[in-house]
Amino acid sequence: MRMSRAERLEAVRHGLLVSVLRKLAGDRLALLGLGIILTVVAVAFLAPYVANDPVKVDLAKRLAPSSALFPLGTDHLGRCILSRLIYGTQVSLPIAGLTLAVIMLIGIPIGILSGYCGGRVDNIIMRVVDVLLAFPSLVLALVIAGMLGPGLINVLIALASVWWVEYARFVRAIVLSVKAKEFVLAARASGTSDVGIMTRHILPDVLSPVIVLATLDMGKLILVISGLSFLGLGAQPPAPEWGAMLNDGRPYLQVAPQLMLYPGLAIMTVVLAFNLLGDGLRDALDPRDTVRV
Amino acid sequence: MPGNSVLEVSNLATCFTGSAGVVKAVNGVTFAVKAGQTLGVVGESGCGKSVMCLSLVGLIGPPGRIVSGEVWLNGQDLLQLSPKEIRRVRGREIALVFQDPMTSLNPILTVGTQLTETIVSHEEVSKAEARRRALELLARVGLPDPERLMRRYPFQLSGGMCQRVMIAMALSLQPKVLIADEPTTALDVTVQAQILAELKRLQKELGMAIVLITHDLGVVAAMADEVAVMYAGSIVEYGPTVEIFASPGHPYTRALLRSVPRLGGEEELAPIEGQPPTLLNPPGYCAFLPRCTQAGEECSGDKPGLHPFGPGRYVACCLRGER
Repeated sequence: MRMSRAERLEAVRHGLLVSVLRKLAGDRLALLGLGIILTVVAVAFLAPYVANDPVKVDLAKRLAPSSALFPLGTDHLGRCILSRLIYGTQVSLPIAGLTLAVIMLIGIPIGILSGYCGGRVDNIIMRVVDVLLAFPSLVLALVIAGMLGPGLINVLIALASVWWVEYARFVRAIVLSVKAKEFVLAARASGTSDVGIMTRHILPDVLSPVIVLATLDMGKLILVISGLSFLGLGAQPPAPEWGAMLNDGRPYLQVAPQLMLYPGLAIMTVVLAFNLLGDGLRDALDPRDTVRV
Repeated sequence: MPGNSVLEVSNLATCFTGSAGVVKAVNGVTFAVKAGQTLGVVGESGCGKSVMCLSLVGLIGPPGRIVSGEVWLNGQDLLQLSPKEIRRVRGREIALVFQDPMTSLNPILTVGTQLTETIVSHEEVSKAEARRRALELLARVGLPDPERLMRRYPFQLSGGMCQRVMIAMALSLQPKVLIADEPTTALDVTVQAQILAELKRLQKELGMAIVLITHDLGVVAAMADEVAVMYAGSIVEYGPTVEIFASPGHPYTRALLRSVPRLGGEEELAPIEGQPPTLLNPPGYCAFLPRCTQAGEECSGDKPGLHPFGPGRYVACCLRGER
């Protein structure tokens, strides 16, 4: 998707956000992704109005198939699966978002520092990163989550402590290329402080690729958090977390596949939506398209 | 050298240490500039001009290192200052203008943001005051409609406009010395002439000294009061522009002047044979020796230093000057 000069000038006049939205508008798959995400977010907010009590046990109606009252049937404790899925959005999305925020808050500053300072600082940071990267991150997260004990906050801590290295490495690579640009030298020559250069000249250049990576990672995080919950480390019963729901449904796969089918579909849809949006954003935020004429 | 100079550089040397050895990019450079005057520094590509100007303000990063020398400005040796102190000198006392104006401005910030940022980062002024000064500066460097320009991004401007913005930025803190590293090389000839005229006018108005780095002898002839000819990291000839152009003292200067085409000139162009020497592990003898057409017996000795050659003139050649 290339823009003409006039369009680009228009983009600059209207600011980055509008130009990105305008470009996204031409990308159907990304729009689909965005649509799904917005719908899921809306569902999360509207949960109390559209769903029944997700933890109300009714053993008389256990493992019921779809019906007017329970559109997706009930689980092994007679709880409404649709209601649990709807309330599940209140668990999965915020915890994934929060984890991502923590990851970025750690990874971006460390990456900028490492890339900008270079030398010994860079060496030390990058060796730590190498060590963490050399270890399968999911296994490491499992170990940390296992040590901290089950619970969503512990999952967050575990994931953030292994995942920030990816951002540090990614950001450092961008900083290395931005740092060599002449405008950074010019800024130093006019007496701008190192902190000033890092925050005002380098950070903005780093942000747009990081936004793309973060969008794609949001999907991955939802998946991993569900995975950890599935293994019993994340959300604890009776919390309606999607991964935990998968785990709950496991013994009944043959008699009542809806217990695992619907949470699985929900996870897949949301992850797919974030991936589609991330791909679209990557195209829309490509600096080669907006910065140079 | 005479006393009333704003900037005095003596015996400045900068090295880059790599796996292949030591590159002596700047090898014992000495010069001085008076207020309101222009020193032209000429030389071929790779002779150490740019490294020299970065060294002046301590912008040489590893693996580069300033190994010796003094840079006196306002009674302080810039090379002895702490990183924090030298940062205050940059921009405020010595400003730099770089070769390529299109890449010297941050492409994702507006002209206004970058200009006011420079002012605010050095002086305790309000945003509004900084903005007022920025507008004034843009008008001062001959840019039309400053209000509109403030909201523009660099890529929306032409090369000449960008360079004017860079000059405005350099002048924003009223530096005593402006170092212009090939300020017009990336520009069209007509724009080049405008920018040079602008620089000269601003110099007169503000009384600052200019160190003009260039490989264009025409620019030097038009702008500089004094010239320093650099070769292989050292100054080989130094003196008033008029005299050096009239009677070059160093064989290299002579060869340089002869290799420039002249309109209506009868002489044939004479390129300098051979390649500029690599600065990696330089030999102990005169660096120009392999290419020199006048070299004689006496040249095989130690590398010659600058010595007086007529009033106010210095030459580093074994064949000339009072030794």
